[in-house]
Amino acid sequence: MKIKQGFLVSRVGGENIVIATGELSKTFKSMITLNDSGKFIWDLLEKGADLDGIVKAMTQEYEVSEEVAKESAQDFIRTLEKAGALE
Amino acid sequence: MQLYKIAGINIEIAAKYSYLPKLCKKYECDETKAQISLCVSEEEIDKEMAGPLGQYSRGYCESVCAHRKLGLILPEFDAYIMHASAFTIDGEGYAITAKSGTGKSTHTRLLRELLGERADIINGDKPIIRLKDGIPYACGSPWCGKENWSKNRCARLKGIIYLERSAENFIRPLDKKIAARLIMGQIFRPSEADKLSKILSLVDKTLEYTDTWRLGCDISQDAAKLSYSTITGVKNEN
Repeated sequence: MKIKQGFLVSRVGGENIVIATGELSKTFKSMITLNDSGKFIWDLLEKGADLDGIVKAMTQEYEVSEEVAKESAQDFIRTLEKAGALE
Repeated sequence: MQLYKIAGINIEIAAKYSYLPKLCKKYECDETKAQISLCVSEEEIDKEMAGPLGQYSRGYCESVCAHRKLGLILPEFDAYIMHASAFTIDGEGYAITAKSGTGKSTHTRLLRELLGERADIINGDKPIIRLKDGIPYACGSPWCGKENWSKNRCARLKGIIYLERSAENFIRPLDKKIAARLIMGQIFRPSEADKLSKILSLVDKTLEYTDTWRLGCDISQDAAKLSYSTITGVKNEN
């Protein structure tokens, strides 16, 4: 569960926009937008964090229960998987 | 070698075919020092001809390659290419952007019919947006779409209008986050991370200094009146 190499994350007009670059841009054509909590999880995934690590970081950052954090993180990861952003 | 001044940048173009010099004629200048040199090889033209542009002339394919190369270099000059129809109203610049075939040119034509000389074209299809001292300007470029609307001029970009077809005419302010998503789809995007990153930061600055609107319209003078009065803040004069 890691984000594929080659994504560029940039803040444009207050929106976190993710676009594939280089080789990855040939197969990944769509654009992803991330809200702030999505960006938080994205950054952790890029650093190689696992689900437990992400849940722990979210409970600290957003003061939510482990259950809520886990559900949100799993939802987000599933979305990224569906989009083909993970390897 | 002939130099051209495009978006205020001195560009040398070593064309092999006559199409490109003809296309750029209006942009010829007397400068002697080039800031950008564009040269397309026969191999690059071959590659272009092997794609969807195969039925076009080699000269046309050379111009398409040259435009793409320009798009890759422009970020070094704080500039990028937007798929839009850019024009001025009373000297202030606006860009209507939309997916191909939505009606950018039609709406621009309606505005020109409504406003006469007060509305003046910059570029009908692919203006260059250049930031100077952090302020965005819409600039003309020889690559300008089938209407051939192109003038060698730049104007402060005051507003960007994202156009959609709609049975009912409406125009409303467009949230910058949504504008970013929509406009990013209409920007020339290189695949190289460094160049793309620079363009994204330029689009971000552009959005900071422009009003953004969402326009839904049919093909009518009413639509042009509505967009004109809203984007310029002028109450309906009729």
